[in-house]
Amino acid sequence: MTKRLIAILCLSGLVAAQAAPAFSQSAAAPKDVPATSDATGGRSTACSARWIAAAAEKQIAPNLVGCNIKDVTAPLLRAKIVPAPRETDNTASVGTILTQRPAAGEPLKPFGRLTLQVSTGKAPAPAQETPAPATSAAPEQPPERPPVSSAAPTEPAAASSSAASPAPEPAASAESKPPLLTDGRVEFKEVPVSAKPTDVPDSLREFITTYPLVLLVGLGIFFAAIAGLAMNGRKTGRTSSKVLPRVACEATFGPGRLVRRGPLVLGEKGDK
Amino acid sequence: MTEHVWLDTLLDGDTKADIEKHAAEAADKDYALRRLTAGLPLLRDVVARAVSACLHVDPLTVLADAWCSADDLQGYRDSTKGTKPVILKLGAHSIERDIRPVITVETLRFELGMAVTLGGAFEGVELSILKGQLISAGSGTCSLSVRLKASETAATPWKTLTSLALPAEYRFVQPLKIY
Repeated sequence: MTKRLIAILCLSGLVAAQAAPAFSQSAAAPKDVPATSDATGGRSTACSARWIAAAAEKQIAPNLVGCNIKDVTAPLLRAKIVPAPRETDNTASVGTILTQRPAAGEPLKPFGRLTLQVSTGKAPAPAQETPAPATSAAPEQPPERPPVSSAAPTEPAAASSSAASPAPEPAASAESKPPLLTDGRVEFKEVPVSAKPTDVPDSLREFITTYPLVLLVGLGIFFAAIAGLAMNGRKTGRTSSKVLPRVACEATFGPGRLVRRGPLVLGEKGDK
Repeated sequence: MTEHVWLDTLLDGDTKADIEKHAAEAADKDYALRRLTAGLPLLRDVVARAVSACLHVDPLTVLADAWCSADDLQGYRDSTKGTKPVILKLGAHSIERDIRPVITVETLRFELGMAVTLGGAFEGVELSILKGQLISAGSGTCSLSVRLKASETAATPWKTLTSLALPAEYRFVQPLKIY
Protein backbone atom coordinates (compact mmCIF):
# COMPACT_ATOMS: atom_id res chain seq x y z
CA MET A 1 0.00 0.00 0.00
CA THR A 2 2.63 2.50 1.07
CA LYS A 3 4.81 1.57 -1.86
CA ARG A 4 2.01 2.32 -4.20
CA LEU A 5 1.39 5.56 -2.44
CA ILE A 6 4.99 6.64 -2.76
CA ALA A 7 5.12 5.59 -6.36
CA ILE A 8 1.98 7.59 -7.09
CA LEU A 9 3.51 10.57 -5.37
CA CYS A 10 6.69 10.26 -7.44
CA LEU A 11 4.76 9.93 -10.66
CA SER A 12 2.53 12.82 -9.85
CA GLY A 13 5.62 14.90 -9.15
CA LEU A 14 7.03 13.96 -12.50
CA VAL A 15 3.81 14.77 -14.28
CA ALA A 16 3.55 18.08 -12.51
CA ALA A 17 7.11 18.94 -13.40
CA GLN A 18 6.61 18.07 -17.04
CA ALA A 19 3.30 19.84 -17.20
CA ALA A 20 4.79 23.09 -15.87
CA PRO A 21 8.13 23.68 -17.56
CA ALA A 22 7.73 27.39 -17.02
CA PHE A 23 8.21 26.78 -13.34
CA SER A 24 11.59 25.28 -13.83
CA GLN A 25 12.60 28.00 -16.18
CA SER A 26 11.54 30.66 -13.79
CA ALA A 27 13.00 28.80 -10.85
CA ALA A 28 16.33 28.47 -12.55
CA ALA A 29 16.69 32.21 -12.58
CA PRO A 30 18.76 32.88 -9.42
CA LYS A 31 22.12 31.86 -10.71
CA ASP A 32 23.93 34.36 -8.53
CA VAL A 33 23.04 32.50 -5.38
CA PRO A 34 26.17 31.21 -3.70
CA ALA A 35 26.09 27.52 -4.42
CA THR A 36 27.89 26.17 -1.42
CA SER A 37 25.83 27.90 1.19
CA ASP A 38 22.49 27.91 -0.56
CA ALA A 39 22.47 24.42 -1.94
CA THR A 40 22.91 22.89 1.44
CA GLY A 41 21.22 25.67 3.21
CA GLY A 42 17.68 26.28 4.41
CA ARG A 43 15.12 23.56 4.15
CA SER A 44 12.42 25.58 2.52
CA THR A 45 14.49 26.64 -0.38
CA ALA A 46 16.42 23.43 -0.82
CA CYS A 47 13.27 21.53 -1.78
CA SER A 48 12.75 23.73 -4.79
CA ALA A 49 13.93 22.72 -8.17
CA ARG A 50 16.39 25.50 -8.62
CA TRP A 51 18.34 24.64 -5.50
CA ILE A 52 18.46 21.07 -6.56
CA ALA A 53 19.68 22.09 -9.97
CA ALA A 54 22.24 24.39 -8.45
CA ALA A 55 23.59 21.60 -6.29
CA ALA A 56 23.65 19.25 -9.24
CA GLU A 57 25.70 21.76 -11.20
CA LYS A 58 28.26 21.73 -8.43
CA GLN A 59 28.09 17.92 -8.39
CA ILE A 60 27.17 17.82 -4.75
CA ALA A 61 24.14 16.29 -3.07
CA PRO A 62 21.34 18.75 -2.29
CA ASN A 63 19.82 18.83 1.17
CA LEU A 64 16.47 17.12 0.80
CA VAL A 65 15.80 16.13 4.40
CA GLY A 66 12.34 17.32 5.34
CA CYS A 67 11.21 17.70 1.77
CA ASN A 68 8.47 15.60 0.27
CA ILE A 69 9.47 12.95 -2.18
CA LYS A 70 6.62 14.05 -4.42
CA ASP A 71 8.14 17.51 -4.75
CA VAL A 72 11.73 16.56 -5.38
CA THR A 73 11.52 13.56 -7.66
CA ALA A 74 11.05 15.45 -10.89
CA PRO A 75 13.64 18.12 -10.14
CA LEU A 76 16.15 15.48 -9.17
CA LEU A 77 15.66 13.64 -12.43
CA ARG A 78 15.98 16.84 -14.40
CA ALA A 79 19.17 17.56 -12.55
CA LYS A 80 20.49 14.15 -13.58
CA ILE A 81 20.27 12.77 -10.07
CA VAL A 82 18.65 9.37 -9.65
CA PRO A 83 16.44 9.25 -6.57
CA ALA A 84 16.25 5.92 -4.78
CA PRO A 85 13.43 6.12 -2.25
CA ARG A 86 13.35 3.61 0.62
CA GLU A 87 10.32 3.24 2.82
CA THR A 88 10.71 3.68 6.49
CA ASP A 89 8.05 3.53 9.17
CA ASN A 90 7.88 6.88 10.79
CA THR A 91 5.19 9.04 12.30
CA ALA A 92 6.13 11.88 9.99
CA SER A 93 3.73 12.65 7.18
CA VAL A 94 3.67 10.32 4.24
CA GLY A 95 6.44 10.97 1.70
CA THR A 96 8.62 13.04 3.98
CA ILE A 97 12.29 12.46 3.39
CA LEU A 98 13.92 11.50 6.68
CA THR A 99 17.53 10.93 5.72
CA GLN A 100 19.56 10.83 2.59
CA ARG A 101 22.72 9.29 1.37
CA PRO A 102 25.07 10.79 0.34
CA ALA A 103 24.53 13.52 2.86
CA ALA A 104 24.00 17.09 1.84
CA GLY A 105 27.11 18.71 0.44
CA GLU A 106 28.87 15.45 -0.30
CA PRO A 107 30.00 14.89 -3.88
CA LEU A 108 27.47 13.35 -6.22
CA LYS A 109 28.33 12.79 -9.83
CA PRO A 110 25.81 13.20 -12.68
CA PHE A 111 23.37 10.29 -12.75
CA GLY A 112 24.54 9.36 -9.31
CA ARG A 113 22.12 7.64 -7.00
CA LEU A 114 20.68 9.54 -4.09
CA THR A 115 19.16 7.20 -1.55
CA LEU A 116 16.29 8.75 0.33
CA GLN A 117 14.59 7.33 3.40
CA VAL A 118 10.92 8.22 2.96
CA SER A 119 8.41 8.06 5.75
CA THR A 120 5.42 5.80 5.36
CA GLY A 121 3.47 7.76 7.89
CA LYS A 122 3.06 4.72 10.11
CA ALA A 123 4.42 4.20 13.54
CA PRO A 124 7.52 2.08 13.59
CA ALA A 125 7.00 -1.51 14.54
CA PRO A 126 7.34 -2.19 18.25
CA ALA A 127 10.73 -3.45 19.29
CA GLN A 128 9.35 -6.58 20.97
CA GLU A 129 7.59 -7.72 17.84
CA THR A 130 10.48 -9.35 16.00
CA PRO A 131 12.29 -11.24 18.75
CA ALA A 132 9.08 -12.27 20.47
CA PRO A 133 8.86 -15.84 21.65
CA ALA A 134 6.18 -18.13 20.32
CA THR A 135 3.97 -17.91 23.34
CA SER A 136 3.56 -14.14 23.24
CA ALA A 137 3.89 -13.29 19.57
CA ALA A 138 2.08 -16.14 17.98
CA PRO A 139 -1.54 -15.33 18.80
CA GLU A 140 -1.57 -12.03 16.89
CA GLN A 141 -2.67 -13.64 13.64
CA PRO A 142 -5.16 -16.37 14.39
CA PRO A 143 -5.73 -17.67 10.86
CA GLU A 144 -2.03 -18.08 10.10
CA ARG A 145 -0.96 -19.83 13.27
CA PRO A 146 -3.43 -22.50 14.18
CA PRO A 147 -1.72 -24.28 17.08
CA VAL A 148 -0.86 -21.27 19.24
CA SER A 149 -3.72 -19.02 18.39
CA SER A 150 -6.13 -20.86 20.59
CA ALA A 151 -3.88 -20.52 23.58
CA ALA A 152 -3.96 -16.83 24.42
CA PRO A 153 -5.56 -14.48 21.98
CA THR A 154 -6.22 -11.63 24.38
CA GLU A 155 -2.75 -10.87 25.68
CA PRO A 156 -1.07 -9.64 22.52
CA ALA A 157 -4.04 -7.52 21.67
CA ALA A 158 -3.42 -5.65 24.88
CA ALA A 159 0.22 -5.33 24.03
CA SER A 160 -0.51 -3.90 20.63
CA SER A 161 -3.03 -1.51 22.06
CA SER A 162 -0.40 -0.25 24.47
CA ALA A 163 1.68 0.91 21.51
CA ALA A 164 1.48 4.52 20.36
CA SER A 165 -0.15 3.78 17.04
CA PRO A 166 -3.89 3.29 16.67
CA ALA A 167 -5.40 -0.15 17.02
CA PRO A 168 -6.37 -1.09 13.43
CA GLU A 169 -2.96 -0.23 11.97
CA PRO A 170 -0.86 -2.91 13.62
CA ALA A 171 -3.31 -5.55 12.53
CA ALA A 172 -3.12 -4.38 8.94
CA SER A 173 0.64 -4.14 8.99
CA ALA A 174 0.94 -7.51 10.64
CA GLU A 175 -0.98 -9.10 7.80
CA SER A 176 1.36 -7.83 5.13
CA LYS A 177 4.54 -7.69 7.13
CA PRO A 178 7.26 -10.20 6.60
CA PRO A 179 8.38 -10.16 10.29
CA LEU A 180 6.14 -13.12 10.72
CA LEU A 181 8.74 -15.09 8.85
CA THR A 182 11.43 -14.06 11.23
CA ASP A 183 10.01 -16.33 13.91
CA GLY A 184 10.01 -19.22 11.53
CA ARG A 185 12.20 -21.22 13.85
CA VAL A 186 9.69 -21.09 16.62
CA GLU A 187 6.90 -22.06 14.33
CA PHE A 188 8.90 -24.91 12.89
CA LYS A 189 9.29 -26.42 16.33
CA GLU A 190 5.60 -26.37 16.87
CA VAL A 191 4.66 -28.06 13.63
CA PRO A 192 3.08 -31.39 14.54
CA VAL A 193 5.11 -33.23 11.89
CA SER A 194 8.19 -32.82 14.02
CA ALA A 195 6.64 -35.07 16.61
CA LYS A 196 6.23 -38.00 14.19
CA PRO A 197 9.82 -39.29 14.19
CA THR A 198 9.67 -39.80 17.91
CA ASP A 199 6.57 -41.94 17.45
CA VAL A 200 8.25 -44.42 15.12
CA PRO A 201 10.81 -45.76 17.62
CA ASP A 202 8.06 -46.09 20.17
CA SER A 203 6.00 -48.29 17.90
CA LEU A 204 9.06 -50.29 16.98
CA ARG A 205 9.92 -50.74 20.60
CA GLU A 206 6.40 -51.87 21.26
CA PHE A 207 6.59 -54.39 18.43
CA ILE A 208 9.90 -55.75 19.71
CA THR A 209 8.56 -56.24 23.19
CA THR A 210 5.35 -57.91 22.04
CA TYR A 211 6.73 -60.09 19.24
CA PRO A 212 10.36 -60.89 20.04
CA LEU A 213 10.20 -64.37 18.50
CA VAL A 214 8.90 -63.08 15.18
CA LEU A 215 11.65 -60.53 15.12
CA LEU A 216 14.32 -63.13 15.83
CA VAL A 217 13.04 -65.47 13.13
CA GLY A 218 12.90 -62.62 10.67
CA LEU A 219 16.43 -61.60 11.46
CA GLY A 220 17.58 -65.18 11.15
CA ILE A 221 16.01 -65.55 7.72
CA PHE A 222 17.51 -62.24 6.66
CA PHE A 223 21.05 -63.17 7.69
CA ALA A 224 20.71 -66.67 6.25
CA ALA A 225 19.70 -65.18 2.93
CA ILE A 226 22.66 -62.84 2.99
CA ALA A 227 25.03 -65.69 3.89
CA GLY A 228 23.57 -67.82 1.13
CA LEU A 229 24.06 -65.08 -1.39
CA ALA A 230 27.63 -64.58 -0.26
CA MET A 231 28.42 -68.29 -0.47
CA ASN A 232 26.82 -68.53 -3.85
CA GLY A 233 28.96 -65.68 -5.06
CA ARG A 234 32.08 -67.35 -3.73
CA LYS A 235 31.17 -70.64 -5.35
CA THR A 236 30.59 -69.07 -8.70
CA GLY A 237 33.86 -67.21 -8.33
CA ARG A 238 35.71 -70.45 -7.74
CA THR A 239 34.14 -72.48 -10.45
CA SER A 240 34.04 -69.76 -12.98
CA SER A 241 36.20 -70.54 -15.95
CA LYS A 242 36.32 -66.86 -16.77
CA VAL A 243 38.98 -66.21 -14.16
CA LEU A 244 41.70 -67.98 -16.11
CA PRO A 245 41.65 -69.29 -19.62
CA ARG A 246 41.58 -73.04 -20.00
CA VAL A 247 45.06 -74.40 -20.18
CA ALA A 248 45.83 -77.87 -21.45
CA CYS A 249 49.06 -79.62 -22.13
CA GLU A 250 49.60 -82.39 -24.56
CA ALA A 251 52.79 -84.34 -24.96
CA THR A 252 54.24 -84.78 -28.36
CA PHE A 253 56.97 -87.33 -28.88
CA GLY A 254 60.03 -87.20 -30.92
CA PRO A 255 61.53 -90.20 -32.70
CA GLY A 256 62.95 -92.92 -30.49
CA ARG A 257 66.72 -93.26 -30.66
CA LEU A 258 67.97 -96.70 -30.10
CA VAL A 259 71.55 -97.16 -29.03
CA ARG A 260 72.83 -100.70 -29.23
CA ARG A 261 76.02 -102.09 -27.99
CA GLY A 262 75.76 -105.24 -30.11
CA PRO A 263 73.13 -107.01 -32.14
CA LEU A 264 69.64 -106.02 -31.03
CA VAL A 265 67.89 -109.28 -31.69
CA LEU A 266 69.58 -112.23 -30.16
CA GLY A 267 67.04 -114.66 -31.50
CA GLU A 268 63.48 -115.96 -31.37
CA LYS A 269 62.48 -117.85 -28.28
CA GLY A 270 60.85 -120.75 -30.10
CA ASP A 271 63.95 -121.40 -32.22
CA LYS A 272 66.02 -122.82 -29.39
CA MET B 1 47.21 -108.54 -15.10
CA THR B 2 49.93 -106.08 -15.83
CA GLU B 3 50.30 -103.07 -13.64
CA HIS B 4 51.14 -100.11 -15.75
CA VAL B 5 53.86 -97.69 -14.83
CA TRP B 6 53.35 -93.97 -15.19
CA LEU B 7 56.17 -91.57 -15.71
CA ASP B 8 54.77 -88.74 -13.54
CA THR B 9 54.54 -91.09 -10.58
CA LEU B 10 58.21 -91.88 -10.90
CA LEU B 11 59.27 -88.25 -10.76
CA ASP B 12 60.37 -86.90 -7.40
CA GLY B 13 59.69 -83.37 -6.17
CA ASP B 14 63.00 -81.92 -7.29
CA THR B 15 62.62 -83.30 -10.77
CA LYS B 16 59.12 -81.93 -11.03
CA ALA B 17 60.32 -78.52 -9.81
CA ASP B 18 63.08 -78.57 -12.41
CA ILE B 19 60.64 -79.45 -15.12
CA GLU B 20 58.28 -76.65 -14.08
CA LYS B 21 61.15 -74.19 -13.95
CA HIS B 22 62.30 -75.12 -17.42
CA ALA B 23 58.74 -74.94 -18.67
CA ALA B 24 58.32 -71.45 -17.24
CA GLU B 25 61.54 -70.30 -18.84
CA ALA B 26 60.52 -71.81 -22.12
CA ALA B 27 57.15 -70.08 -21.88
CA ASP B 28 58.92 -66.78 -21.38
CA LYS B 29 60.85 -67.31 -24.56
CA ASP B 30 57.66 -67.59 -26.57
CA TYR B 31 56.57 -64.05 -27.47
CA ALA B 32 52.85 -64.68 -27.62
CA LEU B 33 52.83 -66.83 -24.51
CA ARG B 34 54.89 -64.23 -22.67
CA ARG B 35 52.32 -61.57 -23.55
CA LEU B 36 49.61 -63.83 -22.25
CA THR B 37 51.35 -64.58 -18.99
CA ALA B 38 52.18 -60.91 -18.53
CA GLY B 39 48.48 -60.10 -18.63
CA LEU B 40 47.59 -63.05 -16.42
CA PRO B 41 50.46 -63.73 -14.01
CA LEU B 42 48.70 -66.80 -12.66
CA LEU B 43 48.87 -68.32 -16.11
CA ARG B 44 52.62 -68.77 -15.79
CA ASP B 45 52.22 -71.20 -12.91
CA VAL B 46 49.33 -72.92 -14.60
CA VAL B 47 51.43 -73.53 -17.69
CA ALA B 48 54.28 -74.89 -15.63
CA ARG B 49 52.03 -77.25 -13.74
CA ALA B 50 50.41 -78.36 -16.94
CA VAL B 51 53.75 -79.50 -18.28
CA SER B 52 54.46 -81.77 -15.35
CA ALA B 53 50.90 -83.04 -15.47
CA CYS B 54 51.16 -84.02 -19.10
CA LEU B 55 53.92 -86.48 -18.24
CA HIS B 56 51.28 -89.00 -17.25
CA VAL B 57 52.49 -91.47 -19.84
CA ASP B 58 53.63 -95.07 -19.83
CA PRO B 59 57.42 -94.89 -20.18
CA LEU B 60 57.74 -98.38 -21.68
CA THR B 61 55.19 -97.60 -24.32
CA VAL B 62 56.97 -94.35 -25.11
CA LEU B 63 60.30 -96.11 -25.47
CA ALA B 64 58.83 -99.02 -27.41
CA ASP B 65 58.58 -96.77 -30.44
CA ALA B 66 62.29 -97.25 -31.00
CA TRP B 67 61.75 -101.03 -31.27
CA CYS B 68 58.94 -100.55 -33.75
CA SER B 69 61.18 -98.54 -36.05
CA ALA B 70 64.32 -100.59 -35.54
CA ASP B 71 65.87 -102.08 -38.65
CA ASP B 72 66.34 -105.42 -36.97
CA LEU B 73 62.62 -105.88 -36.55
CA GLN B 74 61.61 -104.89 -40.05
CA GLY B 75 61.31 -108.57 -40.98
CA TYR B 76 58.37 -108.93 -38.66
CA ARG B 77 56.27 -106.24 -40.28
CA ASP B 78 54.09 -108.66 -42.25
CA SER B 79 50.71 -108.60 -40.58
CA THR B 80 49.48 -111.76 -42.32
CA LYS B 81 52.34 -113.93 -41.20
CA GLY B 82 51.71 -116.40 -38.36
CA THR B 83 48.92 -117.02 -35.97
CA LYS B 84 51.02 -117.31 -32.83
CA PRO B 85 53.10 -114.51 -31.30
CA VAL B 86 56.81 -114.48 -31.98
CA ILE B 87 59.01 -113.86 -28.96
CA LEU B 88 62.31 -112.07 -29.63
CA LYS B 89 65.20 -112.00 -27.21
CA LEU B 90 67.00 -108.63 -27.27
CA GLY B 91 70.50 -107.82 -26.25
CA ALA B 92 71.47 -104.93 -23.99
CA HIS B 93 70.60 -101.65 -25.48
CA SER B 94 69.28 -98.26 -24.56
CA ILE B 95 66.59 -96.00 -25.95
CA GLU B 96 66.05 -92.25 -25.71
CA ARG B 97 63.01 -90.33 -26.69
CA ASP B 98 62.07 -86.67 -26.35
CA ILE B 99 58.77 -85.64 -24.87
CA ARG B 100 57.83 -82.14 -25.99
CA PRO B 101 54.97 -80.44 -24.20
CA VAL B 102 52.52 -78.43 -26.24
CA ILE B 103 50.47 -75.92 -24.27
CA THR B 104 46.98 -75.06 -25.40
CA VAL B 105 45.53 -71.87 -23.94
CA GLU B 106 41.88 -71.92 -24.93
CA THR B 107 42.35 -72.42 -28.66
CA LEU B 108 45.92 -71.18 -28.97
CA ARG B 109 48.65 -73.80 -29.21
CA PHE B 110 52.14 -73.09 -27.99
CA GLU B 111 54.92 -75.59 -28.50
CA LEU B 112 57.36 -74.96 -25.73
CA GLY B 113 60.99 -74.82 -26.62
CA MET B 114 61.92 -77.54 -24.16
CA ALA B 115 61.87 -81.29 -23.96
CA VAL B 116 61.93 -83.96 -21.34
CA THR B 117 64.17 -86.71 -22.63
CA LEU B 118 63.27 -90.11 -21.32
CA GLY B 119 65.95 -92.74 -21.39
CA GLY B 120 65.73 -96.45 -20.74
CA ALA B 121 68.55 -98.95 -20.44
CA PHE B 122 67.32 -102.47 -21.17
CA GLU B 123 68.88 -105.78 -20.43
CA GLY B 124 67.47 -109.23 -21.14
CA VAL B 125 64.21 -107.96 -22.56
CA GLU B 126 61.92 -110.14 -24.66
CA LEU B 127 59.40 -108.76 -27.15
CA SER B 128 56.22 -110.45 -28.32
CA ILE B 129 55.18 -109.72 -31.89
CA LEU B 130 51.94 -110.81 -33.44
CA LYS B 131 50.82 -110.03 -36.97
CA GLY B 132 53.24 -107.21 -37.40
CA GLN B 133 52.40 -105.62 -34.06
CA LEU B 134 54.34 -105.37 -30.85
CA ILE B 135 51.98 -106.63 -28.17
CA SER B 136 54.13 -106.95 -25.06
CA ALA B 137 57.55 -106.74 -23.53
CA GLY B 138 58.79 -108.75 -20.62
CA SER B 139 61.57 -110.19 -18.53
CA GLY B 140 64.80 -108.37 -17.90
CA THR B 141 65.30 -105.00 -16.35
CA CYS B 142 64.75 -101.44 -17.41
CA SER B 143 66.56 -98.52 -15.85
CA LEU B 144 64.66 -95.30 -16.45
CA SER B 145 66.19 -91.85 -16.38
CA VAL B 146 65.30 -88.35 -17.56
CA ARG B 147 66.99 -85.15 -18.49
CA LEU B 148 65.70 -81.77 -19.51
CA LYS B 149 66.58 -80.11 -22.74
CA ALA B 150 66.11 -76.40 -23.08
CA SER B 151 67.49 -76.59 -26.58
CA GLU B 152 69.28 -79.07 -28.76
CA THR B 153 72.60 -78.19 -27.24
CA ALA B 154 71.80 -77.39 -23.62
CA ALA B 155 70.62 -80.26 -21.51
CA THR B 156 70.75 -81.17 -17.86
CA PRO B 157 72.60 -84.31 -16.78
CA TRP B 158 70.73 -87.59 -16.71
CA LYS B 159 68.77 -88.27 -13.60
CA THR B 160 67.93 -91.87 -12.82
CA LEU B 161 64.38 -92.42 -11.78
CA THR B 162 64.07 -96.07 -11.09
CA SER B 163 65.11 -99.49 -12.21
CA LEU B 164 62.18 -101.68 -13.17
CA ALA B 165 62.23 -105.45 -13.05
CA LEU B 166 59.90 -106.21 -15.88
CA PRO B 167 57.37 -108.96 -15.44
CA ALA B 168 57.19 -111.96 -17.72
CA GLU B 169 54.76 -110.17 -19.90
CA TYR B 170 54.22 -106.42 -19.78
CA ARG B 171 51.39 -105.98 -22.24
CA PHE B 172 50.94 -102.67 -23.92
CA VAL B 173 47.56 -101.02 -23.73
CA GLN B 174 47.35 -101.00 -27.49
CA PRO B 175 49.50 -103.12 -29.81
CA LEU B 176 52.24 -101.04 -31.46
CA LYS B 177 52.56 -101.39 -35.18
CA ILE B 178 56.04 -102.13 -36.49
CA TYR B 179 56.92 -99.75 -39.27
